[in-house]
Amino acid sequence: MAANDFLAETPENFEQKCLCVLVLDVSGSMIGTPIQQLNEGLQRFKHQVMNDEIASQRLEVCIITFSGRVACIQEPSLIHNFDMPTLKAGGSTALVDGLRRAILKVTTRKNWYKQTGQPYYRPFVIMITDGEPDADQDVRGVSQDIDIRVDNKEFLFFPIGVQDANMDVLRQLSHRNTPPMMLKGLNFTEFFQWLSNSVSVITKSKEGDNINLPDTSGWGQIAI
Amino acid sequence: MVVGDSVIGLNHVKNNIPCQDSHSYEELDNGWGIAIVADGAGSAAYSHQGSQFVVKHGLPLFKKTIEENKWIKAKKLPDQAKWHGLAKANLKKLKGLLEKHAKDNKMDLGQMASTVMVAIFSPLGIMCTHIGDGRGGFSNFDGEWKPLFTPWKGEYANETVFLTSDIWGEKEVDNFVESNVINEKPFAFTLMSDGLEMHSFECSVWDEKAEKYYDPNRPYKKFFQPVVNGLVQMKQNSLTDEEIKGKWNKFLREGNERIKNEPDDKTMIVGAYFPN
Repeated sequence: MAANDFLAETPENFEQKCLCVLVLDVSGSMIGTPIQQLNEGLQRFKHQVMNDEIASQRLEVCIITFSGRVACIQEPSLIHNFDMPTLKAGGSTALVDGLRRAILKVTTRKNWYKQTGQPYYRPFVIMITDGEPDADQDVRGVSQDIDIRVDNKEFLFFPIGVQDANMDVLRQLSHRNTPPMMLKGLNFTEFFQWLSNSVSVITKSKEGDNINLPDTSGWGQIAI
Repeated sequence: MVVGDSVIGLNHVKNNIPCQDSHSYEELDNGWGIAIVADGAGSAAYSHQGSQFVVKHGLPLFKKTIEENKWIKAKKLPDQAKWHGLAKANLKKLKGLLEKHAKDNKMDLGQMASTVMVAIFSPLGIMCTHIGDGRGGFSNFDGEWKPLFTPWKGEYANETVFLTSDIWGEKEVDNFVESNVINEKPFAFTLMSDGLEMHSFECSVWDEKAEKYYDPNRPYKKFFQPVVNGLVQMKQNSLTDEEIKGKWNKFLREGNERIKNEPDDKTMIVGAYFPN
C-alpha cells in the first residue's frame, strides 16, 4: 500500500523563525586553547544544525562578540546562509555592553518579523564568558533589565561560565528560571552539540511547553 | 462518509510523550453529523487525558443540542447569534465537566489543558465553534475550499489558548470562542490539529502588494481535492470503513516526507457527501 494513497500535494508555507543570539567573550583571557575550542565548537554547531531539516529552516543565528569593544560579527541569518566566523581573542571584557547589544538585536529582529508578517518563536540569548566584567560595566542595571524582559517573555536567557568566570556575576545576571551553568573544562564541542540538540527541540516545540532540553552533564554543571 | 485519526508526532516519540491529540465523530440521520478535535497543551502533563475527555464528553453535549432544537427534522440551521450562544454554553459546560473530573481525581485543571474544535455538518451547511488553534475548512459543490474559522494565535508561533484558560469572563469570552454558521451546501469538510496545518493549509505566504507574509487561512485545494476524491473512490470500490481508516492512518503517519517528519501530533477528520 502506498503511503500517499490520496496523492495530496502540500502547500509552500514560509517557515516560522527562531532567533538565537550568541554573545561570546573574546577577551584576552580566551587567547590560546579556549578560543580554539570555541571556534571548533561553532563549526560543529553549524554542521549539526545543517543536518536537521526543520531546525536549519527555522533557526536564525546572530553572533555578538565582546572584548574591549562589542561587535555584531554575524547579523541574524539562517545557518546555511553564512560561513561560521573564526574568532580571535584579545582585550578586556565589556560583557554588559555585549548583552545590551544582544537585547537590542532581539528587539530589532522581532520588530522586523512583525513588520514583515513572519511568524516566530520566542528568541533565546546565550552568553559565554570566562572572565570578570570590566569595572565600568553596569552589571546590576542590565541584570534588572534582563529580569523584566524575561518575565515579559521577550526572550530566554542562558548564561554559561568558562574556567575562571565570575559565577557571582553570572548568578546576578541570570533569570531565576535559568540559573548559570559552568562549562566543564573547555568542553565547547560538547556544549555546541548540546545547543544544536536543544535548537532541534525548541524549533519543534509549542510556546508554553515545558521544554525538556537535552542532558547537560556532558559539558556542564550547575554553578554553586 | 467521514474518516479521521490522530497519530503521534516525531517529537513526542523522541521525548516519550503520549499523543496529546484526540478526535471523535458520529454520523447522525439524514446526512447530519458531528466532528470534534482536541489538542492537548504540550506544557501540561496530563493534557492527553484532557483532550480525550474533551472529545468523549463534548460530542454528546453537541448531539443533545441538535436533538433538543430539532434541527434535523426541521431541516433548518439556527442563526449565527443563537448558535454562538448555544456553542458557548456547551463549551462552558464542557469546561465545568473537565474541572469536576480534575477535582475528583485530585488533578490540577491546568495540567489537562486542551484546545477544542467542533463541526456539526449537514446537507444544509455547517455549524462550527472552537477555542485555540487548529484549522477547519469546507468545500462547496463548485470545488471552492474555504476556512471554517480563524485559529487563535498569540505573539509567538504556536502560542494559543485552551478550554481551561482564563478566558471565560463575560467581557472577554467572545474574543476566544468563535462560532460560525455556514449557510452553504457543503461537498466536503475538514477539522485538524495544528500539526497538519502547514501541510494542508496556506498559512504563511508572501503578499506581493503589501510586501509581507500573511496567513490567508486557505485550505489547499491540491491537498484536499485528491484526499476527497480518494475517499470517494475507495468507497465506490467497496473498501470497508476499517480498510479506509487503515489507509488514512498510514497517510497521516507518512503520506509524504513533510508529513512524516512533522514533530507535532497530527489529527485530521475529513467528511464528504458523495453520490451513492
